[in-house]
Amino acid sequence: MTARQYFELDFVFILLVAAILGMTFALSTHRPNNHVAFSVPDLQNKQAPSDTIAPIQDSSFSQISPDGTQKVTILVHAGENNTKTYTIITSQENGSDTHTLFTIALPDSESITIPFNTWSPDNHYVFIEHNTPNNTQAWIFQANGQPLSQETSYLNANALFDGRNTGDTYQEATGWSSETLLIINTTTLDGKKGPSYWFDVPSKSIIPLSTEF
Amino acid sequence: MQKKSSQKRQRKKSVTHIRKIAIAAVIAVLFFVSTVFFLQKEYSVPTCANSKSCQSDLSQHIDNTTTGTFHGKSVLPPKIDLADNTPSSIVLGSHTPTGEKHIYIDLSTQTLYAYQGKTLILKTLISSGKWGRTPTGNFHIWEKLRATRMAGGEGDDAYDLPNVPYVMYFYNDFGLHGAYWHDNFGHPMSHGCINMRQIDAKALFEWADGPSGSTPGTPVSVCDQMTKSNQCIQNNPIQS
Repeated sequence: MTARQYFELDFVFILLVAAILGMTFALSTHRPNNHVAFSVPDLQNKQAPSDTIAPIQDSSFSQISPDGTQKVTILVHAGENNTKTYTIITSQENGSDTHTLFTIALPDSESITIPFNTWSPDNHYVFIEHNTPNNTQAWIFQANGQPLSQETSYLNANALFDGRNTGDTYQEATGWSSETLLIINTTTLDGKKGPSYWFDVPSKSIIPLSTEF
Repeated sequence: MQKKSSQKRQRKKSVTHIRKIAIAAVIAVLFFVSTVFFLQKEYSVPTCANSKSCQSDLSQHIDNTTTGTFHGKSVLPPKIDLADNTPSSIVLGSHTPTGEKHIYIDLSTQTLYAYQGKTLILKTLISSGKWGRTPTGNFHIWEKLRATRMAGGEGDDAYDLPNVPYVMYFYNDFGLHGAYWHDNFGHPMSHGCINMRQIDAKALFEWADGPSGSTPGTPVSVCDQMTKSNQCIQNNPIQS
């Protein structure tokens, strides 16, 4: 028998049927289909832990570091012409040893918020979110109040990411993968979820990842 | 002569048929086996979260001299002082609510809820399994450790973390614990455990109960999803 004879159309059809039968039988007999549901207390209607903390007018709001030793605080004061002045301060958890990182006046359409994962794991850096009508930017500061570069007191992760021309669009900074690596999620040009990147603060480098966060 | 030739052709044809059927049967079996293999890989829950430390020992280990590693980066573990009994700045259950304690974890929102009776004691963001699956099911805390070492992974994924604080195992070495090497809570970041901020882990550790005599520890329910109608959905939970 030649190979050609083996691969006659009817034989290919039989092989396909055999493959489908084998897979179907395996799926029906071995796929776990154990689905359990039970009632829990009223969890959903309780106040959610906010991903970000947004201060209200003439107020202050803080986010404690993961180890509970330090906190970052935003003070908001209403100004003239529908502006608000935001002052970002770090301190020990008890309020001592304060450092003013930055003060900025923003129009009503913009705001500053503190993400849940604002602190780097070693409490060396904080990142805060600057929300504009077009996007949310991640600004990174040294927690001790020292400027991060000669030109500016903070690093704008969005601007540095966009400057690398990766082909992906900055979406959000989710938190810290390690002491210096901020995780950046992106979208592709067609609007789908893109790859994740690390932004290494000391070197200001953008590192593409095979893992999506 | 012609009859003989026809019989020969007929026999040859039936042999060909048998061969075809045999090959089809082999293909069917191969697809069956490979699908079963795929399903087992997809749905099976590993017995260990931390492939190295799980095999050796699940007891308390304090090491204030060694540096940790996580994804090729060096990390400085917190110093652990067992004599320091400073209570958590977040005191759970300070108004002494009554009722059974229960910890719920919603993997879909990466949120942990601690309840005592009908009182919500703590609600915070966690990080569940990314490089290893977090098992779903209903468990009890079977061991509480102030700190231990967790190690596992291979190659670039290898990690070795001394002084992992406030560990509460609920299924084999899958546990709730503080994580000092990342701050990306609300997103999966672990090898199967439930990572928490150290401040949350400490508060939960001080509130939750380990096993005592014949009384099991605080129940832990890990759900794939919590629905709006307050249902905990578990797909293929561990039967413990």
